[in-house]
Amino acid sequence: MHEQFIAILKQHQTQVYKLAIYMLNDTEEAKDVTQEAFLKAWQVFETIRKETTKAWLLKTTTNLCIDRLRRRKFQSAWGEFNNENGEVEIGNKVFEVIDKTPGPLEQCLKQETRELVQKAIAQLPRDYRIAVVLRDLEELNYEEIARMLDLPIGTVKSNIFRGRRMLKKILRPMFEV
Amino acid sequence: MNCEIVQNILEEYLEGELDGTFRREMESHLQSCSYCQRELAMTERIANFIKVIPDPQVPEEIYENVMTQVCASQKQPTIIPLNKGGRGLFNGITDALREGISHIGDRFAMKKWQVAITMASLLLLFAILGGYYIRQKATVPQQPYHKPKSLVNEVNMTETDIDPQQVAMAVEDIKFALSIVQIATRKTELALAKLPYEMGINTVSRKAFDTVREVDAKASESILDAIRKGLVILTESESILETKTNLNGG
Repeated sequence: MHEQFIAILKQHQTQVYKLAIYMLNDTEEAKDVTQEAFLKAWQVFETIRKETTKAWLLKTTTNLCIDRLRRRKFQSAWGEFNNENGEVEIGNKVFEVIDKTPGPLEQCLKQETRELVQKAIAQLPRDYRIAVVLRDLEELNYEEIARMLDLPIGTVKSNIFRGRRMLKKILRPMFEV
Repeated sequence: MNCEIVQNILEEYLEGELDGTFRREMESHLQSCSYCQRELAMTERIANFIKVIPDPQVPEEIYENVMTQVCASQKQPTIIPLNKGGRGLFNGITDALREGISHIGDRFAMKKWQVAITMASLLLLFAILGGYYIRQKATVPQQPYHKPKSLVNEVNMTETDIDPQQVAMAVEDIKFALSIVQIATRKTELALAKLPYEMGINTVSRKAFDTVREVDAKASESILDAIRKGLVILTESESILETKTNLNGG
């Protein structure tokens, strides 16, 4: 059982951590949540079916993140963004990188860019953020997300598209060269 | 269909969520509207951009912390790989220690904290005895260090016994031993600091642990001190050799 758990941990830790960091926009909290999710998995490891392990982990992580987001009731995502980094400043930084780098955009994707998107996603309302992260970053399909969040597929789709539209508005300055 | 409607459903269009008639109307509008075409291109570009963002680097400590707690929660032998560099080895040692405590506790019907304190006391005893042994072996005089000749005499060596190559090798050996002891000391300190926390023992036991740690630190310092003094003897022997060579050369 121990070996199986290690395999699961190695296989899914990136996905779980990625989900946590995009949902929470905080490295320390993301680390805590990832650890907590795997420790919860260990406690009930015998009862989780192998084929549903990933979904179980992502659902647990999502719930842990939602709990943490609820605790941040006095901090709005907009407030965090404006206090930490101005939109214009971030936009300028990325413009420079894009201007200097010819060819596909992927070539200039670095840590800084990832953090920028992370901050942009953090500005989305919670339900949109969850939907966008699960669909676009974790690459789950609508049915999986609906099952995981216990929501109708229509609601999931609506949250994804609305979230994407908002994200487009936030990230737009980067692309308007 | 006008621009406002089109721009509000670009995401749905790209995802293939629009039905036939609606889709055809939209495509018809897009063909004739350059502004909406640019918007569509922008939407597509941003969507693709998000999909190719590299995954974040997962901090190594997540794996280590999870495995440490997993191992602590069960009584099977630990199978953490020891080839993961220093930290892996350290985890292996602490886990092995914890497993040992657990087994001894089961065998002798002792509580975990009782076993841990017994083991810590034994460790302390070994550290003190080790320090004493090294002191005896080195027969290091306390004072004065600035007289190389007397020091060499006190370890029952004459100047003719001092072989330059052996001295150089001994210096290297002792330096190596020093570094090993320093690492071991640090790891012991960490293990002692970590153990009560992981075992979830009560405040009184934790205070007892703190006392053990304090005494253990002193014992470790004695060992280190003895090794450092050994190193001083060797360094001084080297300087005797140098002086001798210079005199002979002169």
